[in-house]
Amino acid sequence: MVRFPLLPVLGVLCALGLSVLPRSAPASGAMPVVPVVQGHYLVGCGGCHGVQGRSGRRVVPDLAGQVGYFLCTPQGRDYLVRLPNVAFANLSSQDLADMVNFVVFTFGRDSVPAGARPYTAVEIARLRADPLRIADLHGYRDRVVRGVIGACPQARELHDYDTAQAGREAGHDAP
Amino acid sequence: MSVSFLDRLGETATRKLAARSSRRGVLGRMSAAMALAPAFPLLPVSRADAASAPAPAATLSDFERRAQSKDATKCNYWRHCAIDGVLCGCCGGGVHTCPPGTEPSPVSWIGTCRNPADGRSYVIAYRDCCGRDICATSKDCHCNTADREMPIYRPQASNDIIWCFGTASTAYHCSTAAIVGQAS
Repeated sequence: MVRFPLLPVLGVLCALGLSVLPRSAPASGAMPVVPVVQGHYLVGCGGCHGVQGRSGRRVVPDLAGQVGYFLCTPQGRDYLVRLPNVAFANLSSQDLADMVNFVVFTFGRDSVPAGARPYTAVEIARLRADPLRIADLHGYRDRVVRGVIGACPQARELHDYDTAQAGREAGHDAP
Repeated sequence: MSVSFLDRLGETATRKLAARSSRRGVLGRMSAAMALAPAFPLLPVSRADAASAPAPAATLSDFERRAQSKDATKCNYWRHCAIDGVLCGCCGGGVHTCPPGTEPSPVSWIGTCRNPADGRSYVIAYRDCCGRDICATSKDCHCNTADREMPIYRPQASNDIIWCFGTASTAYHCSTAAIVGQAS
């Protein structure tokens, strides 16, 4: 077995943007059937962000009850799709639009601002063609989040992850 | 009152039909037709349709052809189609439980494996158990399978990563394979 520690490999790839411990299904009885769009989420994102969009907000940003806040600003809306692991997803733009809408509107729930419109395949295609190309992705996220909180003050819990990340970078926190 | 041509034609045809056929004969033929009708969908059209369906065996991976569903402490147990590490079932834990003294990583990677017992595919979360040095056990419990795995540049689909991240210790001990749900 040759494996590599997660932190150096993932860096900021997995842990930004789009968290519940994956829970095992009951060993007996009816097994839940995972719909296709949720399957795309699980295989592409669910390992880090959790089966239900939650895995530990200080390590990986929560999606459940939070991800919708990003739609409070145009920059936040674009950010969700321009994240490298989203933009480079091995999915068509239509399938990616369906998956992002599932994440934002199902996991996001009450965090989605009133009147927010779903992503279209055309919008997804445009945004993924311009993925984020910056080394300081954490810094960029922090600025995006500040803008989001300015527009939607109730989104301030988004900063929990940024605070924890800053602590890790300063060596004040566990990995 | 004059009788129209159509009325005369209808009357003539009906009387000829009545003269040539009995009510029993009509009932007999209708019964035979009703009895035979369900047989037609089973004839060649139906068989041709069935023949065009892909043979499931042709799409199985090498792992899937050898997979078994009885012994979860073997690398060829069906849930282990894409696991890289030591099976926790060999280390005092289980197929989805960590051994004492370790804790599950909150992050994992997710794959899809086929259960030979029912022919269905299931979403599997591979989660590392962390907090002790690597489990010292039989080499038979050290597995490295790779169905639908991607290179490390797609880390969310790679099992070449130690997922001990967000735990008290980053020391890798073993790996579990929990079922998330049935794939559609």
